[in-house]
Amino acid sequence: MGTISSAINLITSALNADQAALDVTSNNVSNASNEAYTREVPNWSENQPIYINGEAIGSGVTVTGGVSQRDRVLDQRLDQQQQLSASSTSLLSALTTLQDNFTPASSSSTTGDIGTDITNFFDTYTTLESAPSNDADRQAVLSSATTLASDISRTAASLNAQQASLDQSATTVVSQVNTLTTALAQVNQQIQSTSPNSDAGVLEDERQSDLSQLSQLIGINQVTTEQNGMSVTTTGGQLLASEGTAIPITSGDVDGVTHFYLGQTDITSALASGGGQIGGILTARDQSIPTTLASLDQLAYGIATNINTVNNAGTDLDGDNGNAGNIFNAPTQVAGSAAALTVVMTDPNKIAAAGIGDGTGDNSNAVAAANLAKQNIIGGETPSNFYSNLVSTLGSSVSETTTENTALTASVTQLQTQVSSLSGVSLDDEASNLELFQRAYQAASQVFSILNTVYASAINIGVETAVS
Amino acid sequence: MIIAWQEQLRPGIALKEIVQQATAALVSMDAERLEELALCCADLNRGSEESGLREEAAIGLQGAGSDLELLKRILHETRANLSVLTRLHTIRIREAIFLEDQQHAGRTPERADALRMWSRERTPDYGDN
Repeated sequence: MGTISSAINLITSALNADQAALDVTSNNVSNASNEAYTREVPNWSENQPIYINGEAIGSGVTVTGGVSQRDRVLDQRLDQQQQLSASSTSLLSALTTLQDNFTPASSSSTTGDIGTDITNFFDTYTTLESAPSNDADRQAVLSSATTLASDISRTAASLNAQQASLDQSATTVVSQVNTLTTALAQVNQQIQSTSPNSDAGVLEDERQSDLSQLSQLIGINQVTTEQNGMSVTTTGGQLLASEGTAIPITSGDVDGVTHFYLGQTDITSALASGGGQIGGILTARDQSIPTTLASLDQLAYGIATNINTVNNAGTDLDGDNGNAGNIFNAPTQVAGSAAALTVVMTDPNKIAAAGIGDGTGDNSNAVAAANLAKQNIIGGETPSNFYSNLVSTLGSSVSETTTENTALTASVTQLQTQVSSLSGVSLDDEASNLELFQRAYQAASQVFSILNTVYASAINIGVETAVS
Repeated sequence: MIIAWQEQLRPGIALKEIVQQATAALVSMDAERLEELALCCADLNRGSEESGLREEAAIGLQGAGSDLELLKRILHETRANLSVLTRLHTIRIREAIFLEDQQHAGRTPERADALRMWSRERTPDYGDN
């Protein structure tokens, strides 16, 4: 091969490479607004050397395409944090709505203040003690009982409605998951057939975008397989997509609640703890709301059965001894008591204010009913304290979830900041960014450490604090 | 020595303020602000001890319990993020050294690319998040 033609080849090759590099650069520019697009750099590769007079001389370079500047480890960490963050966000949203049901001042609340209702109800018995035959005072007992029953049952209805709404949301999310796993399987297939041994560029971006979207919806694990393939499982280990095949999540009704399956396996509880929106939704649907509803049922059951028992242990204004009848409907079981709670007594004369055999003007049974307010008749607590604890437990859950959510959102922000700052930068710039990150972490640790010491001394001097 | 802005604040209030500012700075990776806050915090802590206001500072922190808890959680997540990013940086440095060695040894970049892919896939950190 002649020297001149070799030189021409070298120049031509270099020109072609420049053009291809420009194409890659322009691809970056045209995809600048595409969030899923990963910046590419030209993949320069050296041509086979040319031998002149027995010496190997480089024959220039060609560009074989773009290499995406991504890191799957970083992507996976980001995906993982997004799964936790999305779960926490959807749980927080559900808990806030749940809490609103117990906050009369909130715009979304359609119910009254159950805590005040309980106090008012027992107070009307206290008023009745001084004038047990007074018709207005008797009417006041029934009226306050109606308000209490109405607010408890409406709250229970709201919780049931929220649960049904979350059930629907879960179904919608699972449908989106199935769409994404199908798309992911298709991209997997394309990548495996077109780029089994190299970076798949735009297709890889597409796959990462699918994974990122999936991470918003559901907790997943990624497993890289042969020929650039990928399998995706739930965090519980059930296969969602295996290379080119997607396995759809199916659903079925179990006692009025939608359960989800992969094959024959019920993965509902695994999904709840797995992350993503579905995790938060199912946690609220299957844990937070049922727990709150169970407490409300316990409250309704306790008040209804105790008041009915007392009323049937006295003498009403008509002289009925031990047979005055129920004030509230008589619940047969705790579950469902709140939603069904209602006042069945219509005649105020049927309120048994007197003790049996003490004459209709007596007030001893009214005293017994009023005293129920001070007795630990519900879960070892007074009715007011039981309700107060219910509301405060809910408040603590919202507070803890808010803190968790803020921390996870912050973590995602940090990672996203780093992903964008690391993409395509030199190793020196990267080292500089990391040094800054390290400094920030160390200084924040110092702040925390000092304040934690002050906090510890607060405990030593007997100051009550809330940090665990 | 307590600096001017701190003198205007009661120790407890200042500490609570510092926790909140530190949290915001940590989220945005503002190292300079955090270092400034760490110094202020140390000064304020020392100052409150010397002036016998330690108890007041502690009482002030009572209302910052949830803020302190949040800072702790973000610190925990930051440490995990930092760990991932540091390991990635180490891998990149190894790759760069490897490629340089290959070039000095006269191997073609194609071969180096293949080895680089291999090293990326075989790294013990891969998939560890």
